[in-house]
Amino acid sequence: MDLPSLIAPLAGTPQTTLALLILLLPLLGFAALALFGGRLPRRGDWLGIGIGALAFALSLRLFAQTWNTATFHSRTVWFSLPSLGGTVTDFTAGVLLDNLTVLMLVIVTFISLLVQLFSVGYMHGDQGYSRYFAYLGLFTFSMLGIVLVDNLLLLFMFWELVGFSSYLLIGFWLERPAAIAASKKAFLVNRVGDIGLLLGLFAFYTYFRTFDLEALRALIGTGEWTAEGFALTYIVNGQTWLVEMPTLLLTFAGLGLFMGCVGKSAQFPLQVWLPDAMQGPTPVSALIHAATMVAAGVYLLARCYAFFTLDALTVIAVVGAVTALLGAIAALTQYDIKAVLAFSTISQLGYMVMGMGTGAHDASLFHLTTHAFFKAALFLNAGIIIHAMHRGLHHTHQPHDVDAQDIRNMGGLRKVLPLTFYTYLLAAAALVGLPLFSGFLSKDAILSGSWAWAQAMSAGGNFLFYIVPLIGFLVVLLTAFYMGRHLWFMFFGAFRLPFDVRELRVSAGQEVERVMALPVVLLGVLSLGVFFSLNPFSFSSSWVMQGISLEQQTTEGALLAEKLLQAVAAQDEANQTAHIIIGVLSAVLGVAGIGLAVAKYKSRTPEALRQEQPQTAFEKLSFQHFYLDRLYLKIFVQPTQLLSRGLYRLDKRVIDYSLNYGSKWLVVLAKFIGGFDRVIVDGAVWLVAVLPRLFGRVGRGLQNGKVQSYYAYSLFGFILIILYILMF
Amino acid sequence: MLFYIFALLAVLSGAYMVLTRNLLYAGFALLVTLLSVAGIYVLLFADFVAVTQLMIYVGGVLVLILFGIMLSSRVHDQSVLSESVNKVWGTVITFLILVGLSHTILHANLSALPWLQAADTNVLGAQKSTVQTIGIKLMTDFVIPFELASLLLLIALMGAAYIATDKQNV
Amino acid sequence: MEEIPLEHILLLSAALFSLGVMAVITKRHAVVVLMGIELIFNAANLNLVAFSRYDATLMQGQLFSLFVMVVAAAEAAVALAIVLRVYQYFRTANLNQINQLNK
Repeated sequence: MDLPSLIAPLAGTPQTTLALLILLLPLLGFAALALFGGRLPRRGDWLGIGIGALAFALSLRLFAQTWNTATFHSRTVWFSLPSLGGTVTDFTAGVLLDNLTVLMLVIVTFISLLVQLFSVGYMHGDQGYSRYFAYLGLFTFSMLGIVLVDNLLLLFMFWELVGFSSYLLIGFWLERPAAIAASKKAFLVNRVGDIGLLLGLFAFYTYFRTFDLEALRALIGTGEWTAEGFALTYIVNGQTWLVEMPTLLLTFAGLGLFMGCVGKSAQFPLQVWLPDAMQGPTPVSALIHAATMVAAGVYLLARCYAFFTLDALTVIAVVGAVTALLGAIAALTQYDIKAVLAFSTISQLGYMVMGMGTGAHDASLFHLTTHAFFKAALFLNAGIIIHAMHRGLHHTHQPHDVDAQDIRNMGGLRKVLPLTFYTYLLAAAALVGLPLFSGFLSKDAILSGSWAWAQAMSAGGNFLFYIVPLIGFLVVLLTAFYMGRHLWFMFFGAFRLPFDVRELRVSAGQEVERVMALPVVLLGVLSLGVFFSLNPFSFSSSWVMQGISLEQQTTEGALLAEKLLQAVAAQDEANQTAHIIIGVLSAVLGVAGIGLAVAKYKSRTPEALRQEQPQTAFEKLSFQHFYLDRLYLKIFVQPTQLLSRGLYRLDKRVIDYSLNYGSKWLVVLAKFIGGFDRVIVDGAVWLVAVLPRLFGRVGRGLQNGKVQSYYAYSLFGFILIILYILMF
Repeated sequence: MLFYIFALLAVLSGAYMVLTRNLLYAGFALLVTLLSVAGIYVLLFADFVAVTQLMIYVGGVLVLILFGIMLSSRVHDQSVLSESVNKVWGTVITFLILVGLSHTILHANLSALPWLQAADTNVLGAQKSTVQTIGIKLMTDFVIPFELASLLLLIALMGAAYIATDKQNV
Repeated sequence: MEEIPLEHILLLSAALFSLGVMAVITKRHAVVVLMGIELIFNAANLNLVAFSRYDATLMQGQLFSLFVMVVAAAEAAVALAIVLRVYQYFRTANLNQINQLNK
């Protein structure tokens, strides 16, 4: 296969041009706000929102043109580098529009728009108001870049840009040390994952000589599995190249890509940054750290699905399952309203990754979509509650150490914030996976897929693979429990702070600002399953699932793990009854979890809830997130600091010391030489000077100005002459 | 015999002049010394020189000196006394000079000198006095030094008068 | 009249010379120093006159001693004038205090 022809430039179409426009609009907004934000009327929020709305409208138009109808791909030579043998290697850049792209496009622009709208209320009066909207514009631009680009190199660039804007937004409140520390942590932890991603990119480029996703997919389609590994031939500059890759290397290359996902999507063991990222403004948490950016890892897996080998997928599935379990367990005992949601996000992302690893590619993306809506709804609701709590605390002049985000300080909010309560309930039901809600469909799909995967994998007799779907079921139960607890703490019972709960409302007749209520209601409603599937009990009829299934995406034989996926698909087909059992089981587990939570906390007095602390070892383990932070601190951070401190000391003690010592010796030597100089050399000079002085003093003593003395001297001379005459 | 009396008188009065602290006593001691030397001149057949010694020294220089003492000292107070300085130095040097000169004189063996043995020691000759001889010599052989001496005296007179004048009052 | 030995006259002149030197060196008053100088002149003159005995025809010694006396008289006049001047200037004739040359 001729490689240059694979990456030949493709002419632009109206659709790709439109996509480019959508991409550049938020960047324009960012530039305008960054440059003139403070001087614009209303500090420029209308500009950000207007651009967001325009981008969303254009995305919808693009969605209508592309979804299930056509794929658009435009490509141009970006730059050329001279390569071996005097030839030139072209690097391309382009826009790829397919179902997955436009779906993500709509999700990102929609949630971005809603979050900006919400922020008008939430961030009202903040010092960095226009800066905030500028950052959101930058983030939207980068995220859309990840979605739209057609090659891995550009994707990596936007990937980093997303990480950077996330860093900016986590540390948005510069005056808070915790926010700064969290932003640094997020950035550094993400770098760990990005190293893997970069290595994966290099590995793929080394073998396939292109970053272009379509070209890579086509090349892999031409390859053959041999005894040693994966072999394929392609022609570059008229030369035929036979490339043979060991399976292990391909696995590692794939895992390198997955590393990027682990960092960005907060998978085990790099999930520690996400809970800290909640230091950012709550709408930012909703947009970036729940709905879109953290989903970028999953999106990357979907984009590169063809490049993962069987072993790589297994690792991905296991990592996903572990992450889902750890996140769910950690969420059980959190008291910070956003921490619960953050760990829930980690858990759900683990779910998606698990779905990817188990071959349920479409189910995973479906869950990404539904999760984006209901988790955004949850976070924005949490934002409303935090906002309201702040208002209440402020109006009643509570002490400053009362935490507005602590759910132990809440309770009974159902009565004063009914709208929030109902939308929260909708989104929570979707998260738990109750039937009729969107989460039920996507979770059911993932569970079914993983079940079929376990069946297919354990065909050889190894039943350990069943652990993955079992963890999936366990997580459903845990999710239901912690969301039940969460809801109970916040909305039921009696208000636990010593002031009137009605203080939380904006006014007697108004619950929240309208500009904040609208996005929440929209997102809450979109948590209903009916919007994603006409039959709200069966995911297989979901239009989203059908639109993003593998058949829609890939050409024949273009997957490295083709065999497994076919087996899983076949198994899935055969699991008709199992599907029903799985669906019922997950619903029952969800209800049971909520029931358990209600049963546990129903009988507690408000005072007991107010004072609750993690008691048992398990609760403490959960509350402290398995002490992962401390573990990392001990294993990685402290040794690094220790090493650097040690090196610093080495520098200080040994190198500086020896330098000091050497210089001291030099000083001693110099003093010695100086002494020599002073005593011998200067002494000689001094002697030369002092002898005449001595003689001069004697002479001056003689020359005392007295005539008689002179006379005496001359006579003395006369005597000497006489003596001379007499003697000789 | 007369010579030794004069010599002793000259040396003793000279020593007294040196040793006394009173300026006037020193002046009068000098007078005795000069008179003794004049006597010795007579004994050495130099009558004109002796007379000149009396006239110039005793009559001129000594009077000058006495005037100097009176003008440069407040006679009635302590400052008419003259303290001695450099006594050790002065004594040692004086003594060394005396020893050196005496040693030289005594070892010169003057009587062995040819021109002393061959000299005509008859100074007076046919005359009673040396005045005539000296007068002739001054007007013949020594006329230039004689005139120069008169010139010198004139200059000294003018110079002394000029120097001694109190210029503040002129 | 017996012959006076030449050595004795010379010894006398040496003694006078030494006394003059001593006066010059040790005395603090300028006039006494002048007296010492006169004494030295006399010693010299004594020598001249003593040796003049062996030069009967020319009598250069005696003549020279006459010139010495003249010069000595002139010297004494000028020196005393200087002493007076010094006394007027310094308000003292004490040579120990007149050490202007050392300044």
